[in-house]
Amino acid sequence: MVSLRVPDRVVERGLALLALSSIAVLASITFFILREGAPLVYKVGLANFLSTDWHPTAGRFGITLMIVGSAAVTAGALTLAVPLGIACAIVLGEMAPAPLRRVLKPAIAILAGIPSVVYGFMGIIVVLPWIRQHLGGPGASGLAASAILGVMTLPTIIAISLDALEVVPRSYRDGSRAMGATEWQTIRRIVLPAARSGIVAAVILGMGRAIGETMAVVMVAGNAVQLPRSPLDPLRTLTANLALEMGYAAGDHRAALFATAIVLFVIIVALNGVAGLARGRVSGRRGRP
Amino acid sequence: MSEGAIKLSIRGLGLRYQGPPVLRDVTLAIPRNSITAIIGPAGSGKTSLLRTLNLLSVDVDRARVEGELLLDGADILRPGVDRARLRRRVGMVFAMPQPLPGSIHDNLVFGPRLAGVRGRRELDALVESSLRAAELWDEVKDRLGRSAFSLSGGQQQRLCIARILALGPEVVLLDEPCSGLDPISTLKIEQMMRALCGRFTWVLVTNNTKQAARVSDRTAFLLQGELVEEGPTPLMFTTPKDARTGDYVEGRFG
Amino acid sequence: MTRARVATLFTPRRAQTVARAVLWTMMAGATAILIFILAFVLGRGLPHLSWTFFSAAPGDSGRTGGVMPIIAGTLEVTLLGLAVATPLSLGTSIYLVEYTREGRLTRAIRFGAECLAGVPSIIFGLFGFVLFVLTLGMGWSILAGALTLAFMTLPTLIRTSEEALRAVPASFREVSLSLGASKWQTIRKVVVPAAFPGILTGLTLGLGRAIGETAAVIFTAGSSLPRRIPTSVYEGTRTLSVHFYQLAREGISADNASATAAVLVLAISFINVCAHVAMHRFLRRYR
Repeated sequence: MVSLRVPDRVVERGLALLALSSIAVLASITFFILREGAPLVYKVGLANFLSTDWHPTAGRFGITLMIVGSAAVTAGALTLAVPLGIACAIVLGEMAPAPLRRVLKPAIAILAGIPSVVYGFMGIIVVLPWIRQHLGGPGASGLAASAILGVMTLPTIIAISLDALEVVPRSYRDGSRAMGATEWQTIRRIVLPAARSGIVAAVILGMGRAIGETMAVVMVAGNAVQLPRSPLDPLRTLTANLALEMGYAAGDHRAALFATAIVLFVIIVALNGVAGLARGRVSGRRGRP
Repeated sequence: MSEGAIKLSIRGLGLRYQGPPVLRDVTLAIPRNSITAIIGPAGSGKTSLLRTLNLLSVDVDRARVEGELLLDGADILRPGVDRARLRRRVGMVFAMPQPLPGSIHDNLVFGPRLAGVRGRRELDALVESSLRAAELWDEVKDRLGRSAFSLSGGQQQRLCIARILALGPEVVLLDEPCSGLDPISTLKIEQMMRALCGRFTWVLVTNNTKQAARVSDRTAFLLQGELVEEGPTPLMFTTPKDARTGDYVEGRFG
Repeated sequence: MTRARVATLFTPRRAQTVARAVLWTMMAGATAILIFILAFVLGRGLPHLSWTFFSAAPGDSGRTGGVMPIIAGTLEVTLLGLAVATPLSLGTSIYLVEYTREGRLTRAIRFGAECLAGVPSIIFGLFGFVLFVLTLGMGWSILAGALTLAFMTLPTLIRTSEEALRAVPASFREVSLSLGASKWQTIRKVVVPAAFPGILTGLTLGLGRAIGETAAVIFTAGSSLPRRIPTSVYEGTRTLSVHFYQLAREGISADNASATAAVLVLAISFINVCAHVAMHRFLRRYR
């Protein structure tokens, strides 16, 4: 077998080409969305775009009600997922014995992999009737969406918080215990503050995940374009709006959907960027995957 | 020294990374089939010098060098030199033993395979001869298939030396090879160097002046990037010409 | 209550007991949710799994028959997408780690990948719909779906590959070079093999994510129900998750919907757990 020695120069050029292609792909997504959506905002004006009047057929493209919907659902989801998630991370990272940890850690991976449509389905079959029966209202509501989203966001928050806790040096804990502190005191006063930036990043990324979720929300939130006055009211999120109307939107309507996408894009990219900085990933400091 | 007796000729070598020069106008002749030690305190540039002899400082550390470096009379600093081939002729052993992932056998055949040796029998013969030369054969001959990481520190370092020997080099560079090793492993490696003197030229960088005194034929003393003095080892240690050399070998600083 | 009294009431010991109780309760709650979900999906779905389900074509909008062509379509879309994304991401991360110095360019690319990694899939669906399906005229097709998935997973794959490559100790590269290997030989024979478990984990997780993906594929690969295994990349198809979505939303067949969900969850769980276990082994190798 003749060994083919490809000159290093050629390889370097080839890899550089691949790298440039990747950058081109990533950039193209950004530019494409901007190109399709930005003109509409200029055309109809910010006042229209940010109004509460969404009637695309009449040229009204106000997305504020959807922004409120997204914000409400996200807030609700985080209320459930953050305390529960951080608690689980603490238990798994600091308190659980090794055998339990070995079982539960893959469990998080499983939970994270369940498709959103399955969560939505569960919402329809289990959560909506429960709400209808015990709390009244149509069932499909912000509350339902918050509950489902909360469960969906849980694995993200647990996993990243767990990472943050694991990176805290053992010597911190040892030193604290050696001074007579109990395990809980150590966790509360030493470990958690040390892991703070990672946990904040976990929450931010969880927020991003909740804001970006589409299918499950479409299935349980009711999708009415209105201001939700109670958790039992149906509402529509930015993402649901995109999913519901993309199939038949044309012209300005479609451009408005792209403009909505820009808003979502900017929010998520900003959140990811902040979280990334908090985890020290961007500066090249090695964080965990 | 006659021209033919010189294996490596360093002429006016200067080296810098981003800041001030790390090596200044170093001129040193390394005779063939001998052991030359380079000594000096930390920061003297001895490792940079050693790593320039196989151009690692240029490729990995991104150093900028000037001057001439002649291997058997040919300048290896000029552009167009096949660096992979150079490194088969001038091998290097690092301070911390670093086996490659894989078995002992895998580690030893890695280099020769890249050089084009394919035959199974040839490779096995190389494995045995290099392990014998590194005085490791008896200890590992029954477990060549085991992971290289299963060896002790001293054994790993001898494995690293055997790896180089399997390539049939002309020069072997050693960068503080015994710094992490126990005295017995250190002794074994020193004995091996002396035993193989007839086949290779050794250049040894060491922090341990006593080791240099024990094992080398010639010694060069580097201080803050400059070659202060060099000469036959016994003379360097008993009657050095420069006061700084005397101070260093006697331990008055360093 | 005096300060002293409060202090004796809330001793560190007691506080710890309370904290422990609260935390473990929450943990139990979360575990209960997990068990409930799995029991729900598998309980409703497993009974309806049968050989027919896996091997037959769907009939009557999915009310009868099986999901075989849909599984085939799903594999075609996701594997094609990965086939595009893998060389691109691997090449990029190799270039970033091995050929560029840590500087503004690498930081910018890493920042870009990090930011884009969490962009909602619906946006990719929108992007793919207008770019691939409409503008480039591919129509609802496996190709459009695959390319959209490729774009979607690219940032994550770059990130995980880059981490895996950076984790390889620098001394490996030095040793390889000093044994006479060229830079590319070093990358090919030492660095990439050493980083392989980490890279593979990233790819596996990407695959798991792609299979469960709905929003991005429903608008690009379409939702047409394939009668037989798709043979051309220009054919449209629905993936397993899209099929499930249609069945569930239209109320077509609760049984088949549950069965589809069970298949999805089992497949993805298997993939994710494998990746998770492999990752653990990888981290253990260099300790």
